[in-house]
Amino acid sequence: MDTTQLLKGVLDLTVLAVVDDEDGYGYDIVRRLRERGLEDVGDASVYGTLRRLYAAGALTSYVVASETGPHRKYYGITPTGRTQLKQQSDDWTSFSTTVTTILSGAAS
Amino acid sequence: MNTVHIPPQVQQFVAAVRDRLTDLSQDEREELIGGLEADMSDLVAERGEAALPDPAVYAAELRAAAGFAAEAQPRPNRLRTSLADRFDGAALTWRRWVETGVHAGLPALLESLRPLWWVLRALSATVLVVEIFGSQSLYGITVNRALLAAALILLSVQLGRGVWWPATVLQRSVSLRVVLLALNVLALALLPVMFARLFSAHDAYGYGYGEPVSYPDSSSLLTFRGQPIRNIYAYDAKGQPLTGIQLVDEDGARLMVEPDQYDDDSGVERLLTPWMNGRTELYSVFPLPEQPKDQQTGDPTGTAGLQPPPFASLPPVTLAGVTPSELVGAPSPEQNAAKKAARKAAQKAAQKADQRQKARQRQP
Repeated sequence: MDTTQLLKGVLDLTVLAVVDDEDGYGYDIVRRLRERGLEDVGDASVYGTLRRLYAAGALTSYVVASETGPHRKYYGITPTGRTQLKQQSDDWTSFSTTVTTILSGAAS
Repeated sequence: MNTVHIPPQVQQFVAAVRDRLTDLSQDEREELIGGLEADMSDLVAERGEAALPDPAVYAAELRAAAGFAAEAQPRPNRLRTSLADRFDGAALTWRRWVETGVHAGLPALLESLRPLWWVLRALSATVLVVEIFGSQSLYGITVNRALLAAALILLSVQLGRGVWWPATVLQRSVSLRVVLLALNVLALALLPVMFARLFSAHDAYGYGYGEPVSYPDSSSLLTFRGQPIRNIYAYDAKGQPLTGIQLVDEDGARLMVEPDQYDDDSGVERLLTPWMNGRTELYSVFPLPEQPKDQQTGDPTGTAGLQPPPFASLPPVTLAGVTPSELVGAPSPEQNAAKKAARKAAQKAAQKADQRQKARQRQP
């Protein structure tokens, strides 16, 4: 099964979760997602998601200037973002449990 | 891994992505692009340049993930398209309006008047060019108003008929249509100026309107460095002033000056008195007697008389192998006496000049 379709549904949730752990900049967040198993995640999808979450107020952003290189844009989670993360985590747990249950029934 | 510089490939990549976000607001665009250089520099440092994705695919993914619509037409094109649509719409509305028949009389009348408008806008353009360049030369060519007007009328009519500007070209180029519209509006705005110039000062501006038939229009009169010549004073090879010389050009056409003279410096108007050949008035015999005009009534005042020449004499000149004409009869210094009896002197001088004309023409 093409995991990109699944990724789309959980990208908001996973990005929020990663940023909730620790503030990060775009590429850092992509790398962390990949390190944790979402190897197929696209850079642009993550950046776009960050931007959309920021616009929705779930994330805050700040620029860290570099003396010699380009500035980095860091993202952090907001209270709104935490609420959303909690809500979506619960939804995901419930949903995945349901799906898992269905799949175990089908397997047995 | 921190990068200390942005690789050129990353800069190109970011620029290419930016190009695909031009329809977004600047804030939205910078929000999407912000930090991208740093992130992509990290990517290249970690996985090499080959890891850089296709900018178009990347931008599309970025837009989709950020919740923007797929890439639309670049903004300038949208502006052009909408402008073109407006022009087409206006033209269509006009055509429908004309065809409905409800306003049958007026549109038909306006349609018939279009050629008049073509001529009027050309005259406006003429006035504009003359206003800008005055009677100075334009790229070395004297601005000849009648010719200029004729050329612009031809251009305007041909444009109006769509002969020189095929409608297909016009339809494709929005810029051309905007320019054409602007020019027409400008011409419309210049109409009052044009009428004022044409009908209040046609003498000074010399469009050839309302001038007596016996005179050629001013465009064919003698000019020097773009300024009309008021009078001509001739000197023989010995440097003595001549009175009553007749001048023709290489085709035998008589060189004439404008009978009504206006001195820009003094504001004085003068009337030139022609020399006579029987009853034929000649403005091609020089010098021409001058007569001041009354500034109120415009009628000539006083008597017509020859003005003193600008120089009593000029240095003598020679040309190898050429024998200059010799004066026959009265010595030239006394010719100034002709002031009081200009017309009689003119007739005599004209006869003398006739005899010598052929010899003079060969002179340099």
